[in-house]
Amino acid sequence: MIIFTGQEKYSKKTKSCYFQVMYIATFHSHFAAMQAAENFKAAGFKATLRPVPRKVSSSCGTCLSFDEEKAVNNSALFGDEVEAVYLYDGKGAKTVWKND
Amino acid sequence: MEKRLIYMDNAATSFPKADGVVQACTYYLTQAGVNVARGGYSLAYEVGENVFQGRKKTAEMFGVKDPHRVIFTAGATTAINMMIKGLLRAGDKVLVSSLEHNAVMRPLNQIKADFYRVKSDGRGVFDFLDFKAHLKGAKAVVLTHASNVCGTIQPIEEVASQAKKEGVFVCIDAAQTAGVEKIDFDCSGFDALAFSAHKGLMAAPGLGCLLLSERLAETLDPLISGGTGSVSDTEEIPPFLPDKFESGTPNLSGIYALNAALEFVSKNPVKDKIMNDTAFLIDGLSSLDGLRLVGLETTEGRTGVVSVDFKEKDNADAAYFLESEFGIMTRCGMHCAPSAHKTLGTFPQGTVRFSSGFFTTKEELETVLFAVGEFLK
Repeated sequence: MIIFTGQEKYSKKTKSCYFQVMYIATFHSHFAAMQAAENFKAAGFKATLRPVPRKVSSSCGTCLSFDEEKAVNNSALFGDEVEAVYLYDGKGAKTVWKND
Repeated sequence: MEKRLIYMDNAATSFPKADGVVQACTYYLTQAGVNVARGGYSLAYEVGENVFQGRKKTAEMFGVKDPHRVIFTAGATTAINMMIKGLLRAGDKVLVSSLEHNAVMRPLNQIKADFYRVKSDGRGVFDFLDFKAHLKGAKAVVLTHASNVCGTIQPIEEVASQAKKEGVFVCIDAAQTAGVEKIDFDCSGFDALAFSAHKGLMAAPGLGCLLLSERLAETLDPLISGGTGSVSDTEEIPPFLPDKFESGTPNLSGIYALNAALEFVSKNPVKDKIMNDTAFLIDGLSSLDGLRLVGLETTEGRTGVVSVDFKEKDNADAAYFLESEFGIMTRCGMHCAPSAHKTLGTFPQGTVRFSSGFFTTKEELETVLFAVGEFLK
């Protein structure tokens, strides 16, 4: 079972990091990421701004992480400037869709 | 006894600032002072949210449908330089009014633009027929919304409507009107509009805005390039907005201040208050012998800037007297607008300019009129 929490976690009990799979959406600009975060909030979906994983892009931009599957294909939430949505597990990212 | 100070130079910068501005600046500098669009941590995103909201609120106030087209700058002068130097080249034909500030004229001279000054009458009223007669072949019209010397408002909507028919870019300097006069950027068909945050909007100095149309945003060259926190794996300036025109760290405490000021301005009758003051000043000053009121005779068609020329006495002596004897702070001289003074018949002596603000009291205005009367005795 995949647990979508959208965070890399630190366990104080085992004193080690573990990763939980999440979706991430990348954007052309920081502004577009902020707009998408607001759209998620307005729609009642939890989402978190975070740096773009280096495995996804070597740009040092901001992306949006979320675990709500209902949001994945709701293009209105992401806006026109979304680049892509990925499923990210900490080791690699699988493209869910790209905005062509 | 401490001398009371009366600030009558709000056309240079507002003082005091809008309620909430000091607290917003202080909050940023003491509680949230990190950069934006760089670090990927929650405090940076909190600051990013404030910048995001500032852009959205500004777009809303000025009728810009897409907040991407709100560009934060270091001030109105920077914004005007960005639109002039990013759009025009040496020899390009440009129309300007006779009331322009040096923020417009010096960049045009610097790039050696071929500019024509549209005529105005002795009160600063724009000659629309002269404008139409010279429009053909122009690449842009660069126009101040209102004179910083006499307050005369120029017909920017009509100019834009006419210029559009000829495919001419319309660039507006709204330094004297933003936050006070209603401006509907997209509906008016402007291509660029520049203003500062610290005058009519009553935020802090060091921040301005450049609003852009879609067509100008595409063709305008960025004046400044550098780091944006986006597409950092390339050495090219991003083509998308607002990053294309916002290299470097923005004035973040200024943007926090702007957010507070926009909130304040949108909830208070700023224009009504200032124009009531202006009517009071015009009536009082017009009744005095020994000075000439410059510009329009009533509040119709003007902003809250009131300039006078003392007939028999030196204008600088007047300003010095008002400050030294009554603590009244005014601005005398050329106001960085020599062409405006030539048009208004006040070159080279200049004028003494009174500009009240939202927080100016009736008692202060009465003191101003009393002091000017005393000077004329």
